[in-house]
Amino acid sequence: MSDDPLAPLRAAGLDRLPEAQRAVFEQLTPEEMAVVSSIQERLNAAAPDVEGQGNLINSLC
Amino acid sequence: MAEKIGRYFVISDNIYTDGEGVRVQLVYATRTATLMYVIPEVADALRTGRLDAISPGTRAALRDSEVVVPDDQDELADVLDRSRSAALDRSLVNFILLPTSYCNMGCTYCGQEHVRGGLSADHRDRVRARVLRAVRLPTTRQARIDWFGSEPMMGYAVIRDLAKDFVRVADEEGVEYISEMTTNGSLLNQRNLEVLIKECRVRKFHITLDGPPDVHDEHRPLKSGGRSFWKIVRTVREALDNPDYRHATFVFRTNVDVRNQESIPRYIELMAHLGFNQPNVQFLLAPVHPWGNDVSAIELEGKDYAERELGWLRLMHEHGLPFMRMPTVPQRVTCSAVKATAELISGTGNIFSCTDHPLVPEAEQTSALGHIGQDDLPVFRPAGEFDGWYDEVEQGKSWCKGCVFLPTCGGSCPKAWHEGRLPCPSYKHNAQGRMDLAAARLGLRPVGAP
Ligand code: SF4
Ligand code: SF4
Repeated sequence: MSDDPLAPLRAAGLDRLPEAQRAVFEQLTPEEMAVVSSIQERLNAAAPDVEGQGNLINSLC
Repeated sequence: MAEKIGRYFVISDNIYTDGEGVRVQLVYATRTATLMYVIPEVADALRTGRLDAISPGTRAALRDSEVVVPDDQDELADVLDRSRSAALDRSLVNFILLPTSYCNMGCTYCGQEHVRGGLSADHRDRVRARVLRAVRLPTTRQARIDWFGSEPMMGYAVIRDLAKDFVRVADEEGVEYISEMTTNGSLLNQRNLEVLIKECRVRKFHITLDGPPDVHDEHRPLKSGGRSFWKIVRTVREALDNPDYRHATFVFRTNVDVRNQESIPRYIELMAHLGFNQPNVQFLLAPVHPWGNDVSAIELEGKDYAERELGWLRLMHEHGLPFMRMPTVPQRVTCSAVKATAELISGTGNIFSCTDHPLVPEAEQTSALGHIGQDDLPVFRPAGEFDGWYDEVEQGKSWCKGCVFLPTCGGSCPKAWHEGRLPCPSYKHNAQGRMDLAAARLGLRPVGAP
């Protein structure tokens, strides 16, 4: 295990974020940081999700 | 600046785990349509209103997704104001065009009356001139042309003729051109798809398949008596193998009612087996709505549908078929009917704001806002029945004013509310199960689940 507190972020590729956004991550608790990087790794690995709006009510709209 | 926990978010009931120590809850922020993964302590702090228990980093993320907002903000007013200005925004012009009044299908639930014959040459030229005038306005940045029906492919020649001018002028004016088609799919083939995608720049096809072959062909019979399921499916499947069409999306919509609901699992399994688990395919289920005034009874039916739907979505998830778990884009404008720069031109030449009106005999007579043959038509359509929708929401004329999903839903369908029908999307009732599916996409399962 690395002593570097930002290691989980690096693993998830989040260390490449712009300075301001990285600063946000640095203000997370260690537990949150671990969660964020784990989720990011999973998002990176998952197939893209279907995007869009959700109004489907009318059979023609 | 003082801040507060806002009102537009939903927290997952479940805590999710990967079995290796990660424990998260989902927060769905409806103002930005974002799903956030937070540690259970944060979910708890949100639920109990303890903003100070949230770390600065998470607080910043919650601010970005508008779960945490300025203390003095009236969120409902803010949401409605954004929608009002989007509805009036002239940078996007939207024309929904019916190139013909005829459809080659006779679906049991359709309220339209179809007569043969496309737009007359004069009407066609007037439609062309009207659209081009809007595209050329100095305020226009984006032009969206939707081909709609009846069955638009019955008017394929009209589409080709008009689209070539629309595309050319949009390019000349530096206006972004977006085009979609709602079609029954039965007249599509590789030749016309090539033209539609490359020349007419249709980027999304909304095609209805109401179940597996036997059920679809009975639910949506061709007027000629023929069948269409395999023709549609083979055509789209072949198109998906064409690398030139990767940027075109095919949406398969299924209208669910009591007659086809039992066959939905069979349909899902068949489509997965046929290889429709592709990134440019989307599956969408929608209930065919009953008409009536007793909204409480319909609400129950809505809940019942949502519960069944969740089972079908789970099956799609297991088979890897793409579908939308939760909306990812806020619904700034509810629908074309509330947008001042959107209009539908029927195959009869009548102009409407609502897509439910054309070719429905009574509406054609009573709800038209103008006719393409008029010489005094304003650049944007005359005012319609639903233009005051956001004021109606503010006045509490629907349930939307107090609804957490207002920013992603916009009230769904103003026409339905006016008629005493309840148009809430299914995710209002099954958001918890949908969040389970969002977590499952990342390999996370509810704590305590096997
Ligand atoms: S239509 Fe239903 S889900 Fe949508 S905002 Fe209104 S009450 Fe909410
Ligand atoms: S009012 Fe309803 S039927 Fe009409 S365009 Fe809007 S969503 Fe569609």
